[in-house]
Amino acid sequence: MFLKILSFELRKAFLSKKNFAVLMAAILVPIGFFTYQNIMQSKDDTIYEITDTQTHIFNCASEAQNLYFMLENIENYPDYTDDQIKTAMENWNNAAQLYSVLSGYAQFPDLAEKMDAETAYLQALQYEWTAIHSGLPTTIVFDTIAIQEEITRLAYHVENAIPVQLSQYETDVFLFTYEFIGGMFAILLVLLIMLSCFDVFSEELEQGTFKFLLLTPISRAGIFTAKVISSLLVSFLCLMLSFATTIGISAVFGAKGYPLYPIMIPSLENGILINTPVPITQILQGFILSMFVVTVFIVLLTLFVSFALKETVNTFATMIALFGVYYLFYYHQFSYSAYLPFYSMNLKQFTENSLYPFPYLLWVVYSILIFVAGLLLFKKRDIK
Amino acid sequence: MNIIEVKGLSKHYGKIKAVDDISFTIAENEIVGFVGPNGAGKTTTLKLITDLVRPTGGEIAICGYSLKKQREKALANVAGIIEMPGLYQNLTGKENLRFVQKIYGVSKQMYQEMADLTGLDHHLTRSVSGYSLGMKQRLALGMSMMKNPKLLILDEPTNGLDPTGTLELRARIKEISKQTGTSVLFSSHMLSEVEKIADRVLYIKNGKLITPQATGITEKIYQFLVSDPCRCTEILTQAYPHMVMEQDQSSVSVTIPKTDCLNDILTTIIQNKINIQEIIAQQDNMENKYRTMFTQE
Repeated sequence: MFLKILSFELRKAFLSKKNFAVLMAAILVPIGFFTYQNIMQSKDDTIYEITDTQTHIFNCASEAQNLYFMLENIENYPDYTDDQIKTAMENWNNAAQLYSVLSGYAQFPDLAEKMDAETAYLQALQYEWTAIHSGLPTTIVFDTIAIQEEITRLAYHVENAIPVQLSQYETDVFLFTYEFIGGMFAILLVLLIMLSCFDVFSEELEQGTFKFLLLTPISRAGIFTAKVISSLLVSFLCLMLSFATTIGISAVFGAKGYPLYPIMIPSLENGILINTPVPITQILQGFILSMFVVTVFIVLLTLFVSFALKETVNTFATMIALFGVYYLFYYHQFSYSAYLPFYSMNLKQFTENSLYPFPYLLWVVYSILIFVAGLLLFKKRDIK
Repeated sequence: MNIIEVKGLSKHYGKIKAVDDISFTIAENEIVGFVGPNGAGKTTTLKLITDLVRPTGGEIAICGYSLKKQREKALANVAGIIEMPGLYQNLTGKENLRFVQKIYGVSKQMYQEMADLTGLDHHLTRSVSGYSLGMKQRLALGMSMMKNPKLLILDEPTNGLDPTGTLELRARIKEISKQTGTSVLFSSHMLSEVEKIADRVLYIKNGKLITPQATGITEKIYQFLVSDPCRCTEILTQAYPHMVMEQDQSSVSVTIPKTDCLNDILTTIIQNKINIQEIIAQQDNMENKYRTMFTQE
């Protein structure tokens, strides 16, 4: 009987073909549009990056110039030795030269012949890094962390002979998907789930169909569980379709993607970002894990709130309450854990690092609590 | 065999006693009306029987299964339409029927019979949201009957129906009960309707049953002015021990459940050589009863 109810609940979502088509269009069209627009925007950003390389040359050259003046007036800088200033100046000069190779300037033609673009860029970054860490006051502030990230990223590609776009902003399928998940996903997930399962209980209450459904020879717990499972399956299906749309559009219009992509892993211990390449298998593992945990939580929360409040307040008030709960859970209290899965995406780290499982477990524990509370409420509550 | 046995059933909402200690039984193949003013506790009682509302106290047994302990087995014998017909509005009539067919594993033949019973024909392929109330009632009745229940519960089934719909539904309920042997418990405001369909009536007021057990719908009181009231009472009590009799100096009043008993009673009196001077039929229809019961205060 449980399976029959479950199958009906699933069929119900698709039986009304017109409704389902509208639902799908409501989800997929904006996602597709959003994806396309962002892909095109990212392509434009890549052009700006070439200009950025020219800015690098200017910055490095002017920094070297500053240091040259410092060297001339060394007596005014008693804390610094000549050697330090000379090393830094040399590094800035070198960086400026290498950047000019990359940007196609014919200023240093010999270098261009000797070096390929990637190695030159990597070398330039390393010069910058050393110059910044020479302990000298600089007039131009560079983002040291960003440079270190770039060095690690490029070193990985050079070492493994993987071709790479010089700009870190170059969009490929995978990168775009991460950006999409990390940014847009938080809002999208809530909307998707609200669309697909907000009315699972409230519709039955409104139409009076509970009075029919609850006369079927199956326990109330069975009906509740069937509804939860079908809501989860429908939500997952909607999510998968959304991601298929995103990946499909970025594959068609975006740059060529690589099966490996280095992404940032936030370190909880020291708060700085360390660049580590993550294989696609780990990404998928993390993706599935985080998708499952977060989606289950939100589906259960939606069902619980819509059922718990439906009989006391009207639909509009329930919607407001639901958004309020999401806001508290998703953007405030759990904002870090909400984003964490999409940055770490690593099952191994999840199991090994004692700090990582905590947010996941919190979501799991809350999900279980909501399920049990919903079940008890459904079993006890009078259907009016 | 009793299809349903209700003992000491109560439902309290805080201090309000919506249903207060009511007990009754319904036998097989019986149509029972449930009558009372608005807010008397009719719908709450029906919801308690269908386990939509959990009782504060008391017990309900359907076909011998306790609703509390063997909920699924008990509810397998019940179908009902409480308040509005519960239909999936965005599905078609056919899809609604198919849902019931799949859940209860109903045969194709039975499905077709029930589809015919609704009398909706080509409307079955339309979305239920476009149905009139009468069409919805018919579809819901078809869906309920597909379960082949032993007890059918209907809450104000003719509410909101036009005269044609009312007549049709009334006929349908009687037909269903006759053909399938299903017992029917239905609530209604319309006394004339109850009188026409029900075999017995339960009167409820402020959550309490006024009559301890359902009262026969067709019972009438006959007052016989006889020569020897004492002997007449004696003879009739012996012959008809279940009948209520009252005796005064010159007459005997007998409450007769069915009018066709009247012949037998008259024959008995005449055979015993008691002289009948006059027979006065006291009208005791539902309206009178209702007036006595509900307008005393």
